[in-house]
Amino acid sequence: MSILRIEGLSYKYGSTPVLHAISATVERPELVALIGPNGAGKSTLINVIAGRLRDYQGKCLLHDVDIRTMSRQQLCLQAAHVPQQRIDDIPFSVEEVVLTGRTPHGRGLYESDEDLAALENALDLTRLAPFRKRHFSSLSGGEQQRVLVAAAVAQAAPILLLDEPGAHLDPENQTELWDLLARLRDQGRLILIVTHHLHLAARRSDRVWVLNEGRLVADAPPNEAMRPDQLEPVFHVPFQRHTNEHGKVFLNYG
Amino acid sequence: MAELRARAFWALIIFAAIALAAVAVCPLVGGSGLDYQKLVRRERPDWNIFLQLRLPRALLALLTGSSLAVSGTLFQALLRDALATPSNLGVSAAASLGAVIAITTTIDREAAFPLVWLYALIGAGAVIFLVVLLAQTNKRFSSFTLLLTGIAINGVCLAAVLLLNSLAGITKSFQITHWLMGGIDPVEYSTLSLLTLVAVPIFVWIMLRARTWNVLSYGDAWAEGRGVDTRSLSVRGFIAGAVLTGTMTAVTGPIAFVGLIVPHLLRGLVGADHRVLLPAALFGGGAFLVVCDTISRSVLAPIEIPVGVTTALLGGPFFVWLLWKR
Repeated sequence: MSILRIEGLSYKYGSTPVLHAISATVERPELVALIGPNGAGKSTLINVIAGRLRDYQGKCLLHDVDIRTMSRQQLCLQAAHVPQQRIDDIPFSVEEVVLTGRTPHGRGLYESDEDLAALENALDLTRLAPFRKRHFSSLSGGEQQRVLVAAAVAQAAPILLLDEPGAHLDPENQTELWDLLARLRDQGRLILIVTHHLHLAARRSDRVWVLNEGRLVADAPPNEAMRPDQLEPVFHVPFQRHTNEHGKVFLNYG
Repeated sequence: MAELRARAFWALIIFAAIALAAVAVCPLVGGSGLDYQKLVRRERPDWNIFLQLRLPRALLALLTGSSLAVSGTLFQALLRDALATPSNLGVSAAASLGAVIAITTTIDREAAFPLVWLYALIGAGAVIFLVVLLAQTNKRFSSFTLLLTGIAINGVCLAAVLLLNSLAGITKSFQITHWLMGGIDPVEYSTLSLLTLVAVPIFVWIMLRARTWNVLSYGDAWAEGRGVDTRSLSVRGFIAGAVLTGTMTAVTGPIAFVGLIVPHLLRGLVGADHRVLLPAALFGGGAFLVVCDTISRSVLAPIEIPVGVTTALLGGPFFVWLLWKR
């Protein structure tokens, strides 16, 4: 039994190949960082797993069920996707945005008590309770990202697919985000996060997938997957890595 | 959520009451004043004017206003654009062209309603087909592209209508012009029942999906991640809106700006949640058109201004104001 299994997954945008025969398996609830240069295919991979791109080759299984056999609703009960595209100009409050995560749980016109409990839980976990009545558009970019992650949390799916949720966050908020992800992992969720914050991936993730030109070139714990000699040919910049006396990993580049 | 439920409930009750009041009061006012005592005694001719002219007219205005406002609200959610309405997307113009073709090609003096309706639906359907086609081929088609397409469709349809009009004889030409001005004319109760039978199930279908329209207005990427099958739902939403617009256009002719003004004013009043907004638009739009129609037949009485002229005179400036505010 695996939570997420990808077998020989390939994808083309028109005639341009983007993903080449990717295979990977995650068996336990882990915090998996998906890293790679721009255009490596990270978002494409996430979008395939999230069921947004259907015309791929190979297989993608969530809890041993092929996503091709799932309805969109079933898939969203398994995996909550936070896309990269920014959402702006929506006239809704933080609460209302978070509650959209409950859409796959019922077709009723109004949210159930269970939905409201999930809302409270998500607001607590993401420390957004003080913002709950605020208008989404009035928040900073970083706060908006947190709200979207909160909606994915409220969705209560065992798999979280996050496409650069930390892109607009300052160091404090980034650190808080990774704390939150660790808590969610400890609650039994598998988190796949696309990120360019390599130092946080190196220190905080359980497993790293390195994607380069559509190929999965590493799938291992960060201390194996993120050695400078492995990262340099992928990112084309020099890397330095050292560990301090408390065992904390520091990764620098450039 | 109890609060939202209450808001939706009160929006429904209050706007339904406003619509009811409009339908009850508006037929009693007008150019040639009714003799209310005769009305109470149900005596000719006032009772007949009320029952056979003014009441069905108010009911048609109610139904048309509701349809246009609900379609406008829906299209704005589907395209995530404040300017998306059946008129702006070219649906009304295409339905008009269909109807004008029906009017010009029938040999009878008056084109029968079912035929005009059919042609109007074909016109509206063709535009929706185009919109869907655009959505299928362009993975990320923008509402901007659609609105520009709408302008092109409007232009082409108007040109075709003018061509047909210039080719038509004087009688047909008068019919076409009268129809194009967009007006609420007294109709048979049988026509009203048919319109109600078409519109009400579509209203219910749209309103029951209010929560999903909310999610859809966040954009496809977000909605798909929340389990919404965006493409098929958008297509069905467009079809629902097109049938409503095409059906009403077949009877009344194009009536501009109702689908734009009403949703915007109401969004400011009751908020953007479709569970509150749609019931408000349903009855608010109806009441709005009933009042506009009463103004149209009263201000210059005994001359009647087509209601499309009244709504355009009110809506045009509003539209410009909206564009500038963006």
